[in-house]
Amino acid sequence: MSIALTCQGLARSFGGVQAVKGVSLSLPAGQVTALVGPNGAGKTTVFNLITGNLRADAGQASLHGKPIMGLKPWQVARAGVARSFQDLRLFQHMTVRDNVLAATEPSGWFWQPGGAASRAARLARAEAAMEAAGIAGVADARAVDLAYAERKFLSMARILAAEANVWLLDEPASGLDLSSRTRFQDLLKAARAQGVAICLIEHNLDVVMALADRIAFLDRGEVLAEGEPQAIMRDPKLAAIYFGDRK
Amino acid sequence: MIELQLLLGGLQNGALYALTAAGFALIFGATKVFHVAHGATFTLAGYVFIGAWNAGWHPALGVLAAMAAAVAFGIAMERLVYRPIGRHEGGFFTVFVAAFGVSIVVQNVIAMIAGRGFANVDSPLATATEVMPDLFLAPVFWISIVAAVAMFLALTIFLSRHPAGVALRALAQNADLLRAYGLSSGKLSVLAFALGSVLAAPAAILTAMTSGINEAIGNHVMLISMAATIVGGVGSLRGAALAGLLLGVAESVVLVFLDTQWAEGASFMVLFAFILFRPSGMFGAAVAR
Repeated sequence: MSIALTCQGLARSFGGVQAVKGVSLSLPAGQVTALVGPNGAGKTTVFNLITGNLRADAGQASLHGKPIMGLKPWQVARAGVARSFQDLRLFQHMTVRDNVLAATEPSGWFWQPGGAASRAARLARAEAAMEAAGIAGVADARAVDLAYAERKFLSMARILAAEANVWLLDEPASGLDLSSRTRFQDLLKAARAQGVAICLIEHNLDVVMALADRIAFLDRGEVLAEGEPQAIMRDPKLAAIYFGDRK
Repeated sequence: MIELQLLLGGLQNGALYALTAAGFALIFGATKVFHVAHGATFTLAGYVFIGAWNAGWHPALGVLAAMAAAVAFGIAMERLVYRPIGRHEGGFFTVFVAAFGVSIVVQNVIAMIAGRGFANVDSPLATATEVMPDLFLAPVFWISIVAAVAMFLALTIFLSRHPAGVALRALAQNADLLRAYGLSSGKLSVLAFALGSVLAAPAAILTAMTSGINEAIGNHVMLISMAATIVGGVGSLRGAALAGLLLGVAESVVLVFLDTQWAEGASFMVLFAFILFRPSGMFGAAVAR
């Protein structure tokens, strides 16, 4: 089992508030790691530190052994880390196809190696991603006109099309009904089977238990526990913290 | 027939306004930079063409030199003025003042080198002939229309089909997200400035061949570009282009009823009418979505 992404001792403060305190994580290839914890635990901040959206006060992160800390967000993405956002950021007034296409061309510039063949390959990649995410039928619709679940799957299609080997997903299943959730879980299982290292922030514990190979439990910016999902979720102290019944 | 003559003159002017306004709208839409120095790009390109013409260069070389100057100036503004301001989180007013300052410098440098007052090139393409009784048209009329349509179509195809065009539209909508997908918003901003600036060059060249330009013409061009962006609907390229055309026609047709000093006023009457009755412009999204 190879480790795709590791981070060690990540720390970040905002004013006097220490949002992340020395977080260390390893994301193995072909596994789903769930980042679980109450609101304000620092889960999204950890994603922002890894992807370069926020600068870390301390700590290191590496992707397949190469350091990525200090890189700009687009450089981290180009290195192979794709992420989704809690607030479902989309190119609202572009079609679904163009939204996905934007993710297939990380070196988008005037000169296109391969010309027409390369363009055809990118289009095929985008079509395959839309098909896999179940949104091929709305490829020509604008993102803003989609239903909520379709927007969620558009977000996933864009991650699929990026062909990244590390996925950082921030509450990707929130607000989905049961059948959409099942589709979403199947999508992640397929990616895991292909060796993608997935890190999932999710409040729906059914989804976590159905998908996660490991759980890292965060509270107040620290990893309190890490291990098998059953063991973590059975821990009464962690359950009390998670459900707001902290003493 | 004077009405038709004015209408055709307005279409010619409008086609050139459309190109310049589309360039401004492209830059503003993609990068959110209020590029007040876009007028200076126009002035610079026009004077480079006149300089090349006077130096006896082949006109095609002059066109290329003007386009290169426009692109170089646009990119220099992005890299040397707007990006450092953005890095220090400067706001709209800082950008506005910096760009306005650069425009004044360009204006004065051009006046120092080329002298003040109108300059033009004496091209046979600008010589009007009577195509119908009392209706005079010069080849430059058709060149203006064809150049505007061809460049706008090329831009539209680029933005809709080329990956970099798709990325530019994406940049216009969500720069953070674009970065999350591995595209450098900095490089795309440079592309937006290069494309937006190059659109001003043919307009400047054709203006230099017809009515002539002076060192302060950029101010008028900038006002028209801003007005066209608002009338067309902020964020809409075809809106800006159509509005540029409309403003050009309005400036010309108003002369049927009013004196020549009202020409520029006509553009702003159209602008005020849109602000009052359709503030979202022709194709712009409503402010409250």
